[in-house]
Amino acid sequence: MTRSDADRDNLVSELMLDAGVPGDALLKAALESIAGLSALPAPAPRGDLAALLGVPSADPDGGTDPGADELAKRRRRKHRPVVIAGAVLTAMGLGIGGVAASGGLQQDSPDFFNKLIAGWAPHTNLAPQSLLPAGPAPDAPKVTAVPAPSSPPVSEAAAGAQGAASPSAVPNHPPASAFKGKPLAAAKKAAKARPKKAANTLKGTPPSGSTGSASGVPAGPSGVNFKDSFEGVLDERGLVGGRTVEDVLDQIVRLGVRL
Amino acid sequence: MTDALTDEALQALQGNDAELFSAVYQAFAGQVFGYLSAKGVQDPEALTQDVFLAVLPRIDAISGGVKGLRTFVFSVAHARMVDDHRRQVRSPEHQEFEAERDTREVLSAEAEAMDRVAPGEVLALLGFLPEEQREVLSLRIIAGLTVEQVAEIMGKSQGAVKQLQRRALNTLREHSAVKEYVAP
Repeated sequence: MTRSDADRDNLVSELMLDAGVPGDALLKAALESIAGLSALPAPAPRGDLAALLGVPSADPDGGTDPGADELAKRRRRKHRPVVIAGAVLTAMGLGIGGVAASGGLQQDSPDFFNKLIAGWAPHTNLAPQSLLPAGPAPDAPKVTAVPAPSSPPVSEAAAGAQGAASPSAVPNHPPASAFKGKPLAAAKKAAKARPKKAANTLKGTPPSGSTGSASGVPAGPSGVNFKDSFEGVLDERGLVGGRTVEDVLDQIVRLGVRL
Repeated sequence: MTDALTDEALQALQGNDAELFSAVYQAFAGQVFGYLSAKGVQDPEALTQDVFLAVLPRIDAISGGVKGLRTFVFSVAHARMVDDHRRQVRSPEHQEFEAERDTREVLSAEAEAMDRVAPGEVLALLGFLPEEQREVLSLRIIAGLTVEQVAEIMGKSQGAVKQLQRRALNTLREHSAVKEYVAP
């Protein structure tokens, strides 16, 4: 039901009569404009009211109200950062959980690293063998401690025959006595570990100007892996033959060993 | 004023709630919406729906035919309007500034609705009036109520209502904006 123009005119006229201003045309026009608000269309029912009236709801979800749809879009845009943040956190959680579940970080670390370095052997450069120690540098201290003063090797006499000439033939090699001054338990252990080999080497190989062979270190890549070499050389203080690792490395470099 | 919803039609629809509710809603919803818009409530459309959610289930208990129903409908609307105004006074709306919603080239949703349902100047005319004068005028010429009905709803005497409507009309007459509004 909407009120007709005649009805509005009657209402306004009655009101103006009650107020004692029946003849004011300008006022009447203004009041009729105000009375026109009664002719507004009924809003589309929504929600509970729509259910009560038995008509389809004009809710925003139903898409019948474009203005309401725009409001819903704004609400969705407002929540978008929260949704994205949740998705990223969920993806990160799934990734971390997947790695943990695969056991990739739970492998036996010592074994893993042992396998990794087991086959490692230091490279030697292509310098003439006569000028280079045959074995890896970390092994050198072990071997240099082998010659015991109490049992001079047989070859020492023979070496003595060559006497003064021999030291000059190996200018880059440090004298064995360099490590003798401070014998270490590790060095002794290493010496005991291969006395026969060292003795055989000393016996079977006449001095040829290379103390590398004389020290008993086998030529070519060492059979001793990197890990063992350090376990046998480092003492409780972390020194090698009383020297720091840096000193030893400098010495190795001077010997021409490429690390 | 001729009401399409007559006492006879109202009586005939008794027992058929779906049709009765629909007829009552169509008869009064537009006027309630206009009244609430004129009174400056925050969401006239939503409040109109609230009014009928309160009215329709109690139709059977209303006496006095269409006249009694009209009085009851606008009594509820008046009460909801008062509640809305009190709510606005207690907790004025504060919203954070959102740049994406700052579309200065278009009207706000409320202003757009007001322009769609009625010229802004009409509401501006009512804005010149004090609250009670505005209420009397709205109930008289928008809701279509008599002085007696308005007095009942506002809890005032009929003499007080007549005094308020007289003052309201004098205020409008004296205001230059009225002349500018009605001038061609």
